[in-house]
Amino acid sequence: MKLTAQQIEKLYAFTKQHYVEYYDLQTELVDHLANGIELQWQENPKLTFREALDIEFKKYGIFGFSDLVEERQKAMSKTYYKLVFRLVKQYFTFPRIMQTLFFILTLYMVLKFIPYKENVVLGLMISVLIFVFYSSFKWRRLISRRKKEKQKIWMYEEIVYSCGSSLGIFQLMIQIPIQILSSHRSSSFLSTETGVIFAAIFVVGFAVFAYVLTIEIPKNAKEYIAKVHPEYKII
Amino acid sequence: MSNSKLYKGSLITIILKLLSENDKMYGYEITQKVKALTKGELNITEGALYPALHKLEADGVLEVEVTKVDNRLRKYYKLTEKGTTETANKLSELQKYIETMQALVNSKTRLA
Repeated sequence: MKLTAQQIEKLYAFTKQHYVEYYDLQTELVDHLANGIELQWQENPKLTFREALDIEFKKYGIFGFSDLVEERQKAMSKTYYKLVFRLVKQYFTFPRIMQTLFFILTLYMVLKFIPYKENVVLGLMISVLIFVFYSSFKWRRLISRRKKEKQKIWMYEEIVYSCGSSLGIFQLMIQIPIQILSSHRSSSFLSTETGVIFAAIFVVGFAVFAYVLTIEIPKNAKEYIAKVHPEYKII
Repeated sequence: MSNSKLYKGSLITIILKLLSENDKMYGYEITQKVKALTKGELNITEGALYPALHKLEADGVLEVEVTKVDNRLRKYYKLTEKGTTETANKLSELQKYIETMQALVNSKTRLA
């Protein structure tokens, strides 16, 4: 005996009730539960749908699906960071390296000849940071609205649009210039040739990282999501 | 054996081996196949299987495909090119391990 479309819908609702809010993981679990229920019906046709489902769910242990969600999030984040790394790397290899070098050189020239270099470096980094926070906030709001409206949410989609958990990395990265510049050697650091070169490379690298996370990946998000979730295109 | 921790480290090798013999498989099919092959001796739990599959997918060892079967969607896993190489390595590692264990278990050391 096979499950009806209505029973499949019930299984989707069941996974949602048990804190699986991502459609991709729901789909995989629904198929697994459905196979288990159908096998039980072969052995004992008298079982009701609910009884068979309860037996199947017990196999997931006392934590139910929560460990699966957590583990999948870890795996998806790994996929995401691989993508980020690949895209950021492109800016430092041919042919894009010329463009990156141009930005580094321009910033180097500017920093070399202006006073208050520390403030300019910090100002630039804080502007980039504000932009990243704003973009991430905008997408997070959109996702939470869709959750409220009970629309389908894809795990990788959420990771891509909310820039993974990179905001922590950004906060960490901005600590580096703050620490350097707030130390009493700051003025001497940026007055050296090495200091200016380091600052120019660091700020441009920071901006490239931010650009990839907030503009480049979300721009092609659908393509990346469909690669990870093939069902994204079927639905 | 179903509660044994012995097979935990071999779960990935088991999955890869099965996928190398079948073009593509879905989660439930893997659990059933292992049960059948080991005559019920080995029971892969859902809580261990899916995290392993998702990790292999993130590592680029497996790729996925989704097809509509009956009235639901089914996610199939299959080996990538990298996965095929990985399978050969993992299998030879496991084979070596089994041989070492056999040598240890079967050795007739005498305590003087």
